Amino acid sequence: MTTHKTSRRSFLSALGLGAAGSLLAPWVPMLESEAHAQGTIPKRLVLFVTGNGNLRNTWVPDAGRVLGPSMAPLARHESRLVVCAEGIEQRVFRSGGEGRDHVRSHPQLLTARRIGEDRATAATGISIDQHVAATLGPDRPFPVLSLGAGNTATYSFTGPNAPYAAVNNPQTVLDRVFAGVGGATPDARDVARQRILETVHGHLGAVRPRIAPADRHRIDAHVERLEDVRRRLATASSLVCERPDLTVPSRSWASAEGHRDAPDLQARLLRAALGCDLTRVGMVTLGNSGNVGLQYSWLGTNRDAHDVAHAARGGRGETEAMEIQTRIDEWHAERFAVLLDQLEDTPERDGSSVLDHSLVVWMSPLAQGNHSVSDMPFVLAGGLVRGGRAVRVHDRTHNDFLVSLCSLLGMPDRSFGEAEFCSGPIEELLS
Amino acid sequence: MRAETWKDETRESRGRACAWVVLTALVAAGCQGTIGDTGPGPAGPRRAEEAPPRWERECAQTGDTVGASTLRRITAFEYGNSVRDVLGVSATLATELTPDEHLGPFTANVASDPSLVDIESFLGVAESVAAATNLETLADCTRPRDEACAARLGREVGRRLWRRPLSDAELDELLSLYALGASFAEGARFMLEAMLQSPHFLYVVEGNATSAGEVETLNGHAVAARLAAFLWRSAPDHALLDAADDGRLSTPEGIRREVERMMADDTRYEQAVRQFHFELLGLFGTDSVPSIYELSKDDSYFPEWNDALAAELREEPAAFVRHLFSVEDAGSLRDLLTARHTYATPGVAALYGLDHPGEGTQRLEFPTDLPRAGLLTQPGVLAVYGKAIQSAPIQRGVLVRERLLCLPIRSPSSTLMVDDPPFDPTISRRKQFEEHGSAVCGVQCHAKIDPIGFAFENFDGLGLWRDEDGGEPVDASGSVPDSDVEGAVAGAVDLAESLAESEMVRDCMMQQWVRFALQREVDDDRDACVMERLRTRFEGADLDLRTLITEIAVSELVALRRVD
Repeated sequence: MTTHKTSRRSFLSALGLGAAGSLLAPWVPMLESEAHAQGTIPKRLVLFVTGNGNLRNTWVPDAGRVLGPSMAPLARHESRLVVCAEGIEQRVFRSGGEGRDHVRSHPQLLTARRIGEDRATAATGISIDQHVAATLGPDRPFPVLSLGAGNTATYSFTGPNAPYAAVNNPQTVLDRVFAGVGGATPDARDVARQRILETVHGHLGAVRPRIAPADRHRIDAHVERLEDVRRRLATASSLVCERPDLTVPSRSWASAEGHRDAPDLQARLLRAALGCDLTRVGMVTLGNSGNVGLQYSWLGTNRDAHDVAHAARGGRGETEAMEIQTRIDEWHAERFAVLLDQLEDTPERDGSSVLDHSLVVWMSPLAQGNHSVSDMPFVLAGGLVRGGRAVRVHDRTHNDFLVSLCSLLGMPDRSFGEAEFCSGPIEELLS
Repeated sequence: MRAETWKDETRESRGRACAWVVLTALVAAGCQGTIGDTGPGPAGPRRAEEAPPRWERECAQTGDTVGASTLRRITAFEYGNSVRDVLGVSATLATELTPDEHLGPFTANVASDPSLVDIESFLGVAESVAAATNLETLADCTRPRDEACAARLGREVGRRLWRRPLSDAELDELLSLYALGASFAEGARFMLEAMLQSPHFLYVVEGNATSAGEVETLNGHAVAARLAAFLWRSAPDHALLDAADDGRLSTPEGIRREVERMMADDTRYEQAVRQFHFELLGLFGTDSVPSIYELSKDDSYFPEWNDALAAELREEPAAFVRHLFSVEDAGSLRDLLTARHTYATPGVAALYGLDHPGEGTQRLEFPTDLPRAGLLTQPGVLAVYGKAIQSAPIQRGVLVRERLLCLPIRSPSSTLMVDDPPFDPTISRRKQFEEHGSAVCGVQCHAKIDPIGFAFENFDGLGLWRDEDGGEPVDASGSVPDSDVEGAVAGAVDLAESLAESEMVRDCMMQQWVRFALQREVDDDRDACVMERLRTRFEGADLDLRTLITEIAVSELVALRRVD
């Protein structure tokens, strides 16, 4: 799809600060959050996750270069990127247990913990996005805003066995995340919604004594989250921030078409939410960890992407499959580039951009479609890293990679996930 | 007037439910002495003169009762069906709910805490359902459109969504939301939004017992809710709730009458049966196979492949089980696995090489030389468990092993680390896996999964029959390791016939149906007595599937509840 780009100049124009007005500015962030009030601009973390890794032949940069061939769409952001193509292993995946099966590996990517024995798809701990959110913006209406594109694999967990699903329908994001935002005064509908939520809260209290004690934590969590939603809606109208001016086309968002069209729409919604300080941790997750059942028909193939990745056999397989895989990798790179465009075109009050204050990460639960998990592909971007370089590290774990994200965000953590795989932040990424 | 009548009914049925709770506790405690206090049930007359239901005299006395139930939130499928059946809106509105969790092969929300995203989706979907509902025709509120009419709507809709009568206080509370609306429609919409977000709808809140290990007999409304979830995957209808109100769900005989009604030519029953089989076989997609809705085949290899055929592939298994589980066909587990007929459309008939008499879905008998049998050799099933061109022997092996034999695929050595060999017309699929498969799949995988999957080797990625593969005759010999299928099997029909006679398959299918029915795991100890009786009756009925469903529905598994 065509990218809706808004330059900083046109944004200023829309605010009346430029020479001419512009119709392009999709939103106006003027939220007075605590951080803004104190004059500091908050740090953000944005995770972009695609399935099945990349074909290394065409993804890994040659010596002396920052980008590999299939990362060409990212050339316009090269100076802001750190590409790490070598030396980080997802050791928790290697360490046995249920998670060794690639297609069930997705809860491991961001938790860096082994998957539980009982439920093969259950995480056994908190994921890095939720962990970081507790420091960056626990009081934000959405501690984490998790947006999907044909996503069927949940990566985010608020704790053991507590999935935090991605929302695949951009219209739902628009309706829910920006509900009531920028409204002048609460209207009768808003008042009724508050009363309805209070009624539901009362019902939860009424059923609680009838629930077995062992199950009451679920009711308690329901009450807690319901209150989060109620408070958000009660204060939404006081946020001086406009809904994104976005027309979401009608789609089955579970279909191939939805998978194709959602990433850029979600990027625009995420930029608006970050710009409004509705959240400080955002995620855009595509497909599923093995891309099972996904067809990239708009790239000239009707083959199942999972089968394509297998047939490419890590660069030793069918020529056609390797070509298709490279096209898929390029398409993913372009979506990541568009996300960076959006963040770059989102101004802060001091004229810098949201991207300047963000750590943006492109990652995948697998290194390649042949299920390898050594040499995990990671790309860091934004103003919190020293960009324009490719780094090669030696014998580190993805636990250490995740804790490096904490360091880049100014957090003191020294370990994340299974302690046995942690040896501290990866210096090459920090310097 | 109406409200008065209803209140009396409620008091009456509550009184009866209480009496059963006390009786159960007395009878069961007398046998095993482990039953706890029955908890603070509503006060009501104790009718000690009533004989305890039959189940109290059977398994309760052996020391077994039932396994524990945990708090259950309804699935998106149940939500969608409920709002369609009660409110007349499209069930697809529920697809905006966050994804369900799983219990074995089935969707079930019995473990996780709800997340912020879940709660947002409950709010968003409730509002879109309420906006789509024609509230005026629903409660016949065209005139007068007043609070009395809103009260009627609240009672009738609430009763079905909450699966029990509403109390006066609950109704008054809803009416106070109605009063916030500027019009009848708006006020009614507010009421409905609250009903749909309420835990009384979203969770199955049943019984009064709260102490771990405590066992109670559920009242009629809780039984109605369980029956509707099991047999319809939807909300109870008024007739079922009337039966609960009247105390007709307090005996196995009374329950049986309702179960028979619910299973008689009802689209809701058919949709539950279809859901069971699609979830059982992983046809909505699993971690390692695509959904039957998202199939992709190589159309240069399969010229017949197109979207229309893809849709026909989905229809066949649905039509097959719909008929098999109907009163007329009343099929058995053997028929499920070995039927010599199917219900197919012209495109699917062509895949079988069968003539089709005309249009639409028709029953087709297999000629004696057609090497197909039952559900497992249907093209749609084989295509899900198939690649763009080639067969998928490992996935097919896992399907049978994990889902039909209930054998776990757990140890790291048997995980599906399969680097799938690409299509190669010069080598058979079997040889590809025999030569390369073990290196990537592991020895365990090779020994326990491949031999099952190889039995399907006569079927390619679209489920078409083939005599040759890679230039040589197909070798479809196989075996079923770790099972009571002894010796070799020669191809898919032989495999299906062996599975149909396997006691392990029989037990597994009983277990899967109980999982589906109750959305909980079978407890090998506590459920043993009831499961043994089910087995006896299932076998006594020559593996008749409707008998299995009926016997589960009328058993203690539905009527009793043990607190986790």
